[in-house]
Amino acid sequence: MEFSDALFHGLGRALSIEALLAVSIGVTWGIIAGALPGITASIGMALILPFTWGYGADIALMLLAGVYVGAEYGGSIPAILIRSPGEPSNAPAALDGYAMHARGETGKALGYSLVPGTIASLIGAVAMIALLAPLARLALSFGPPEYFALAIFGISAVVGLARKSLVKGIASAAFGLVLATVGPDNLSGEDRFTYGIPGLLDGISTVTGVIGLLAVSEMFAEINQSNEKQEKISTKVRTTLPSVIEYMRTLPATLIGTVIGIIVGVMPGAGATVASFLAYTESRRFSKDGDRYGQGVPDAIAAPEAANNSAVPTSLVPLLAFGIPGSSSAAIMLGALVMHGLRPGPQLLTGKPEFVYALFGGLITATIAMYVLGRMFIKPWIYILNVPKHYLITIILVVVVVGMLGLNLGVFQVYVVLIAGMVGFLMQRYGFNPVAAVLGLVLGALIEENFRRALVMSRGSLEIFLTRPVSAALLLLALASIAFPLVSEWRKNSAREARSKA
Amino acid sequence: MRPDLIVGAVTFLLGAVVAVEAHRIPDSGTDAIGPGTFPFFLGIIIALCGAATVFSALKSAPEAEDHEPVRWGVVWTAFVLLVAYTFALAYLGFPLATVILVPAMLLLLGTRDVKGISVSAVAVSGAVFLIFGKVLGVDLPLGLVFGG
Repeated sequence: MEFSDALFHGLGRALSIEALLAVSIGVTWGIIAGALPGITASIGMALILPFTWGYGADIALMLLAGVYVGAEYGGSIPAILIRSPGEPSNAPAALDGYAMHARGETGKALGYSLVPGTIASLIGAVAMIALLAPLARLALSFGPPEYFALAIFGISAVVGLARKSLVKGIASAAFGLVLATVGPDNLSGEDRFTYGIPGLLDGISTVTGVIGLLAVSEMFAEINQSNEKQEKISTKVRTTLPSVIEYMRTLPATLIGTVIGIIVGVMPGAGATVASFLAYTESRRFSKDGDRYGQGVPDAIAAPEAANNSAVPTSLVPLLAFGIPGSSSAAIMLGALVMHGLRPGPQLLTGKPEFVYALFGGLITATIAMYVLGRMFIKPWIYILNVPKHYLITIILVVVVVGMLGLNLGVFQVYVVLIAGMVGFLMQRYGFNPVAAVLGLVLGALIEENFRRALVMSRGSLEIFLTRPVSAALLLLALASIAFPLVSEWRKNSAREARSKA
Repeated sequence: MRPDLIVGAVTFLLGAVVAVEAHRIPDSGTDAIGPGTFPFFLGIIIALCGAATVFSALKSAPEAEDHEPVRWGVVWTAFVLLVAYTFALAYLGFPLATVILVPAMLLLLGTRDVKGISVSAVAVSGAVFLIFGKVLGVDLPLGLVFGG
């Protein structure tokens, strides 16, 4: 297909009524999910994932992208109003946003999140397309050793960047990879870890694992904290928005944030949260109001909120170019694609380029929808913060069960999702890394297949991973992303020991 | 006793079981490596991580728990409630099972508003049944009571 044809077809698909509806639903749920404490973008995406089953893969992906886009704005609402970010990536906005709200400028604070976020999201979508073409060409030259090494790097980055115990992070990733081996072996057809249980004969489905480990586990965590009193939030706020001139003044900070978000978004493991923190500290050095950061200045909201929005499209780049998700949200998108029988990567890009342009179009319409919905319903979004949590938890759990039934995978998978939820809760509780486990589960088949293919190529010698330059470099990066935090963790521990002995 | 001592031991055991079980997977013998090799390595990695966790727990001084204790009773009751709900779906059907689950869950979470509980029991069950069952076409079980 010609480039212009693909672009035309893809954008046409994104502008179809079906797609526009899906994107609006996605963004609406995204803003709500983002605003609700405890429900992050990835949990919101996991919860809605089963209901995308009946639609085409491109529509499903656009809807999920809509959730992702909307959640980045939604999360700034509680950050500004109650200083409790709805998403980890909105934490920087909680500092100055809340200070502005306390001064009575709630509308302005929300505006400084919404408009820079919108601009950044649009630029990010263009950056995504621009980055994809060269990377997809690179991906075509990759063989099994390179794919194996890249996937290992993707997981290591997630393990390494989490502020948790690394040893437990590695164990979590390996546990996820073990879960992926359950069921028939792709190469030999041999059953593994099924023990004659009929429900396990097809293995543990990605969707089930993702929803259980990420979403249901969080509901158990909420149940655990359900005795905490819910703060009542006053909805009597001033909703005067910033003027155009005021927006213009934050443009440099917005652009700094956008660029940081684009760069950080592409890197596996980092994503929107790292981007927004980095944007906060970096923009501070350039901003005129740098010395007043923390007291409620517009730049301090605009930069991180731009960064977390521009990171959304670019965080999909590793997934689309190589088929390797670099974050839990991208892992859910991979889950959606696998559910529709598609494997992202260079074959999808070259074989069905219109697919990527449809997603690009979906990101643009989602951004516009975020702006329009965010602008139109400033007050209703605030009311959401007052939804009683007990009812919310109960409804979400019922909907999870309904969603699992809707996938027609059988009642057994509902039990699996509940058990996975409990496992995820226990993992979280004892310092493990459920996101690493999810990535292991999602990437398991790809890692094992390419590992074994590479060894077939080399007649069983592991040297092949080190003699090929790209694979060696990627494995070195993987090692570094684990080793650096490991060394600093070890240093910190020994420093603490020295202190406790003194 | 530090919790990591038990956590590490459980992790070690899990890894050991995976490795042993993977070792027992029959080798088809045609490929360079069989279906058991990959999970075998994973089992070893998990076991090593478990051992390292135990080791570091033994070495470092016990610390005070840094977060609030888990309300295990409530969390496990919720889990059992959901498993029972899933089991009951086939017999009671979605509407009836949900009318029972919603108040049970709300009571467990600590809601004592009788009106809110009873209204939401019917409303949640009905709304979800209509939206997902009828509009979105999810095949929700009617059970022996309604389905006959």
